[in-house]
Order: sequence, then structure tokens, then C-alpha cells
Amino acid sequence: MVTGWRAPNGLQLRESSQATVSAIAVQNLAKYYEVHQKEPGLVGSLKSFVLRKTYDVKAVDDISFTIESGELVGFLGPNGAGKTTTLKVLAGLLYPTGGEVSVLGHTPWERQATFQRQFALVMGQKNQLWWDLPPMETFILNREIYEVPEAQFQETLDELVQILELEKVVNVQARKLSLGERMKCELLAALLHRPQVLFLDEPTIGLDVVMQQNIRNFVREYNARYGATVILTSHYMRDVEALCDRVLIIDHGHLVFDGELETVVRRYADYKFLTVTFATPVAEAELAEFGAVTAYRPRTTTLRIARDAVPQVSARLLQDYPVLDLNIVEPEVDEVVRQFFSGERPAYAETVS
Amino acid sequence: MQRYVRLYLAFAKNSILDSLEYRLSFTVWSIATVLLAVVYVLSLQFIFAHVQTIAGWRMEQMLVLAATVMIVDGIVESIFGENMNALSGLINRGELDFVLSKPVSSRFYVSTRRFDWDPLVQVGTGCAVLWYAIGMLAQPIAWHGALLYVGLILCASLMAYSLWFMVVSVTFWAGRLNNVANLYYNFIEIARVPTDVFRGSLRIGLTFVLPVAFIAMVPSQALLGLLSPTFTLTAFAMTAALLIISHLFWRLALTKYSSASS
Repeated sequence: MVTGWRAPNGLQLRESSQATVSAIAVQNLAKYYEVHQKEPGLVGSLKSFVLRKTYDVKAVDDISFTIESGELVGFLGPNGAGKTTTLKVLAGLLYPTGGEVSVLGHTPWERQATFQRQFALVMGQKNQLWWDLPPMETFILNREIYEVPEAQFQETLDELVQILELEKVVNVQARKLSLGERMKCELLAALLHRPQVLFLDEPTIGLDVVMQQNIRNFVREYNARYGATVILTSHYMRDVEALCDRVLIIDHGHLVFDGELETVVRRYADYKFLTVTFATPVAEAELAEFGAVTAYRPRTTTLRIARDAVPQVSARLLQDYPVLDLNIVEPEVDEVVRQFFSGERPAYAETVS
Repeated sequence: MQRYVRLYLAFAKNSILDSLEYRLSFTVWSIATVLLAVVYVLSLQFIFAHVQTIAGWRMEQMLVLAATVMIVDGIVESIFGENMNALSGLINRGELDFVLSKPVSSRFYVSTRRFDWDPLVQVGTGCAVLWYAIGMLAQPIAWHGALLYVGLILCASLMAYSLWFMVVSVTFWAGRLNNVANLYYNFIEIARVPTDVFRGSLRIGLTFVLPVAFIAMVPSQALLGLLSPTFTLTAFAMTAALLIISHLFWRLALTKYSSASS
């Protein structure tokens, strides 16, 4: 069982009219793509043209989880792990190869209008704005598509324009906007119908640090203000760290972790960093006896210490050296997750237990 | 229904705003279209200086046929043309994601999102040629013939669109279809010739398999009062059938959508 896994009965719950209905319930989801492989060069292409060898790529293989209403959940994983595929199945864009999915009580790929009015999809790499027109025209079109009443449309628009600081932007041709401004307009266009579920696929990709921060703040505010359920995929750990209490780590189509981000750190990083400042210079070789030296300067040094050895090492340092300052830091989540995916981790059997 | 009318008006408005950004396009289109029509009329006059009829069609009747092709082609291209040209790319690049996530018929959205104003010049030119041809006819046009003509032109436009839509939908399986739009232009080109010219299985094929005959010849015959009631009914039935078949085909094709990874 995966950590934080809730009983796989979101589907039955809905029918038995209980109060606690999961916003999203996914059970044994699988999605295989048929792809063909070709040898390099012209001959390879010809061979592949005549006799095509196809095989299935298991983009998503037997994933189950539930997400409660109002949760902010991050999907983490390397490229090709299956994050985006899962997201697209949840949004009803792709038909799964197997498994059951319920989002707000609907089966996504049936694409019922009542379901589609309740969620929004924002993709950092694709845009829905009309390229040669000001974003305002796209907003008006979305008002027609989602049949948003005029008063509500105006209210939401004003509110979002204000939060996103888009006053000067909405009437300028989309192609003349900066990437960050365009992304904010994409968000606005997606949120005009006040969706209860928000799927964000790499919403901050290519943006500068300030703009990333803006987008994050906005997503959190939207989540708080409307109680919306948000699922986020991102390569930027900072996004997930800043926004999500809960993460689902997906790798090779499998769900390998489901729980709090802090737990990832505690469980998979068996070390901490100790930064010590001395009154007098101390030789590197001397300090290396305590643990790996990750940054050395004669007076300030950072050591990597096994988690359970931290108290003893600290005590010995304080006792034997003229210590001015001692700082114990958890490793960066970023670093831990990187290690997690680069193979320095226990096998699936151990992690999913 | 009313909602789709509103949506269509919003699409059309955005399309006008969009095309106003590129002013020269309309002018170039207009000149080219009118020139092509003049050249076609002159070449017909040249041919008919030597012969009386082609497969039983006299010159003014051939002109009616040519005008009908222009009108149908103009309608199809202005309403559906840009959309059909763009659709293959939408599928290939995974940009259908936004369409499929919206509470609106995906077929409606991908087929009508962009209205192209330029080909309307062709509809206008076609009407002018039609007016000129009608003036040369021996008998006047009956009012019910004219009414039927309008109905059959709508049928022809929907048939041509449905076929084009299905061909483009093959992209879901193929991944990419190069120059698939050109098939439509070739198809329309065949419609300029009365199907009566052909014989045997080719003629049957061009009537029922690839319904070229219904694009221009059948409406023209209706206007000229030469169409049998059976053929009229067949035209409406074929239109309904093609709309339904292409709808089912689209539904099937969507299950093959793989999006594009991002």
C-alpha cells in the first residue's frame, strides 16, 4: 500500500450518498501507447515503412489514488514518467487502456458538458489564446462556450485582472505579449467559469523567477478563495514545494510515493547538513573524520552527516572546537527527489510499502 | 441550438477582427478570383465556337455548372476551408487538448472556429456568372427550380465538407497527413465537368461513391428544370448519410487521439 492511500472506494461512496465524496478517484489506471521503432538512416526508415515493428509503451501502468475536494496536489516525476498522461486522462482528453476514473462523479472521457464546465486545463507549453487578437476576445469567446452569465463574467474578470495585474495587457494582441503575461492570460481564460478542479501542466515553464512566484501565489489564492481542487505537474521543485502539501511521485508509469513532501525528505534522505562556523581556522582533514565535507572554508564548513549521528557529532564539535555558530539543515527537497530518480533509492517493493 | 448560433457569431466576429489585421489578403484574393472566372468564361466561349454541345450540355448550361462550382466551393472554403487546413496540425501537435476539454461539440468547434471572408468573393463572382448564364437561357427559370437550387447547394456544401472532414480525420491514425487539403481541391475540380461525360462504372462511382455529381451537376440540373424527383431525394438522403457517417467517424477517430507529449 502506498503511504497516504485512502480506501479505493470513491466510486461507491458517491452512489451511497455519503457526505465525504472524493473529488477525484483513480483506480488501476493504465494507458498504453503504441509506438514504432526505427533503425537510424534511410534503410532503417524504408524497413520501418514496409514492415513496422510496433510495441506498447506503458505510459501509465496501474496507478490508483484519490484526491479530496480542495486539495492541492503535485505530480512529480522525470520526463516521460506518466504525469501528463495521467492528467490528460483525468481531463478526458485520452481514453485509458484500463482502469476506472471518477472526477467530480463523472467519467472524464465521456466528456459530458456538465463535467467540462467544472474543470479547467492550463498547459504551459500550449496556448488557447487567439494569436492575432487581444486576450479579451478569447475571454469573450470562452464566456460563450461556458455560458457564463454576463454579471458573473464581469465580476470574475475584474477580480482576476486585478489579482493578476493584467489591466494594461488584456487589450493588446496576444502575440505581442511577453511569455509571462501570456501565461497569466492563459490562466485567466481558463478560470473565467470558476472551475472547481484545476489541472495545471507545467504552468511556470520558461518563466523567470519573479513571474514563477506570481503564478504560484495566484494558484494558492485561487485554491483558498474558491476551495478548488488543484493538480499540478512541474519540473520545478520550487513550484511543488511552495504549493503542495501532498505529492504523488510517478516513475515509469508507476505510483512510487503518495504523501507529504516532508516525508519524502525524511524517508529518502538519511542525512542532514551541518554548517559550523569556528573562531579559529580548522583543517579540512580534521573535519573529514566527522562526515563528508561538502563546502570548506577555514572558518565555515558544511558537513554531510548521517541523520542519526547528528546529535553526537554536534556535541563533539561543540566540545572539541571553538564553535561560534552551528546550523543543522534538512537537505533540499530538490536534491532528494533528484537522487530518488537517479537510482540512488530503494527498489519499488520497499518504497511502496 | 441558440447557443451554437451565438457561438458561431462570436467565432465570425473574431475571424473578422483577425483578418482585418491582414488587409492585403482580401484584395489579392478578389483580383485572382475574378480573373480566373473571366478566363474560364472566355475559354468556354472558345470551345463552344467549335461545338454545339458537350455530352448534351450547351454553353449557357455549362456556365450555370461553372457558376455553381464557384458558389459551392466559395461557401465550403469560407466556412470550413481554413479549419480543415488547420485540423491536421491541431491533431499532430496535440492542440486538440483545449477543444476536447471544453463543453462544446468538438466537431463544431474544429469545423467552424475560423470563418474566412476571402472566398466570399468567389460566391459573389459565381452569382454574377450565374446571372449572365441565366440571361442566355432559352426558357426562364421556374421559381421552384430556383428554390430547389438553393437547397441543393446547401446539400452540396455539406457533402463536400463531410468528405473533407473525414479525410482529414485520418490524421488521428496517420499522425501526419501532408497536403491532405489538396485532395479537396482536386475533387472540386472534377465537379466542373458534367458527370454525363463519363460512362459506366466511372459515372456510377462519381455519383454514389465519390459524390462529385451532387456538388454542381445536380443543383444545376435542378435550376434548369432537368432533375428527376428521385435524384432530388437521393441528394438530400446522401447529405444526411454523409453527415452522420462523418460524425461517427470523428467519434471513432477521437478514441485514437494520443495528444502530443509536453
